Amino acid sequence: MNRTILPDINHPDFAFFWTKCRDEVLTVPICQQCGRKRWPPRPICSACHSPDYTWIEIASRGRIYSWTVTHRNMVPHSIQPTPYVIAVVEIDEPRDTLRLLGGLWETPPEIVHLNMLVEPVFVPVNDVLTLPFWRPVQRRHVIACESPVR
Amino acid sequence: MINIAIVGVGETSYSQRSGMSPQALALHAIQRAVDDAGLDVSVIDGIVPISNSIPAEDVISNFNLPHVGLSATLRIGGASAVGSLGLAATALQTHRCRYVVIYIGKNGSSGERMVQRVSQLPGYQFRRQLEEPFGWGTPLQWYAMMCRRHMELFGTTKEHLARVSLTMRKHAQNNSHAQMYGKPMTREDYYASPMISDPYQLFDCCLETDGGAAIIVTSEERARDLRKRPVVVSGWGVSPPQSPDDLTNRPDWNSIGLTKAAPDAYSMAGIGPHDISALMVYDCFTFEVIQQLEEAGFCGRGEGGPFVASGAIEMDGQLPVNPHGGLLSEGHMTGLNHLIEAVRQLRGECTSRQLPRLQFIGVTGWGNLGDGSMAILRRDHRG
Repeated sequence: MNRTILPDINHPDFAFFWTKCRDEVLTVPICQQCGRKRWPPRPICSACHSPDYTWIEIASRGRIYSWTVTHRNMVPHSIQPTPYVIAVVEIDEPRDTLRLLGGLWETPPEIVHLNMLVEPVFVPVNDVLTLPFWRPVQRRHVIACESPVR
Repeated sequence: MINIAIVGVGETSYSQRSGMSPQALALHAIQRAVDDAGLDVSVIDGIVPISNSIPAEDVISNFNLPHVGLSATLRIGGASAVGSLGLAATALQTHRCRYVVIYIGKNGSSGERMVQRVSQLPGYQFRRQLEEPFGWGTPLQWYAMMCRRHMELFGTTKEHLARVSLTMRKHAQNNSHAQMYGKPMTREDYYASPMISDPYQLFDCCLETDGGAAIIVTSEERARDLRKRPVVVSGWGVSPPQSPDDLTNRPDWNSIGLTKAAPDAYSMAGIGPHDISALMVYDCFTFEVIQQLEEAGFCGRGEGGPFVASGAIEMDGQLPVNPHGGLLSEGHMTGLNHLIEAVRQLRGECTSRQLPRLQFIGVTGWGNLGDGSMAILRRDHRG
């Protein structure tokens, strides 16, 4: 029995995010008054209370803030088999720190550690939905983005 | 301002399968609490059902209550029992009510279970749209994630979690009302229990329970004329955490509702953590005990693991925690059983598990995504 719960891609607060996931881009709302980015998507800016916002692409790198390895078949279940790793990924944008909840895609639990650098991997679930998972950044990528002057 | 006191407590048996309706469980518990206070049920004029209990209307109809000045429910889950004392205090201080009942009746094991309540919690749109699709959707998994971060930041270990679980089980061996009475647990049993969502195994989790529990609250002045020695509510605090509808983007995961609720409770009571003789901690999972010990000021942040490992929370420790066995080993009555245990300890009714020399007992609550509450109880000063 399939106990996976998929998002409602037509939900007005989240639809844009899911549309852009199909293009393999992560986006968040950005306040048109004060310029603060926010996550999760909220109808108003909690910094300046403006209702006006648009969407903006964010960095496609993050670090593991925390994680859990789920061994038992829970409801809701991941599209991955147990045991699967769920993580909070922290993304440093110039002015804002945003955290996204996601799964680590095909990642062995024993290699996961705090502050591990991860990148998104976009997994199509059906014709209209792509879920953004994460995976460890390959070492060559780490060198490229972490130490430009070394 | 008037002081308020708890004057009656009542419970049904706690089990995995009550064979009774939630209505019957709640009503039986209320009747026992009223009997304990030496009151007639018709004096009840304030009704405070705990979050997921049967509604006030059921109580009014069944007991045919002639006048009800207030019925209200705090929707802060496991922080509600302690938080409801604040609600009762407000109703009593404005003379809107004279006797308030706070109660729960539920089939939390055989009926609607905890995971089925997630959709009623704050911020469910974020859970449903952004988190459940990745298989992260139960309180156990949320708190496992909080625990993991604490372990990484402060060196908290599985052995610390085991110590909490083992201590609660040990305490339950002195409480024939506890579901784990007569079922002692070894360290090997703990580590052999199934892994659910790392670092939480089965025995890191509380007991979803069928049962009913109730307390009666009135003014301290009225309390002095009743059957039992009153237990006075010296202070209370209730607070949400930062971003109470979303854990993922909470700025500081170390800070919870109790971080603010505890100082409010101490300040109202005019005491500090060092004056507390024993603590009833909302032990929904093992790590939550460690975190609440830290945030209520019994040890520094990050020191909760070593604190429990030192034996401090044992019956003969510096801060005995949950002599009844708590949610982990007595049963999950959404924290109302913690208030009941505190009252019985302060009255001196706990026989084989009675703690000596009690001054103040602290009681904490934890609900939803970290809503916190704390009450400080003491004996009435007369005699």
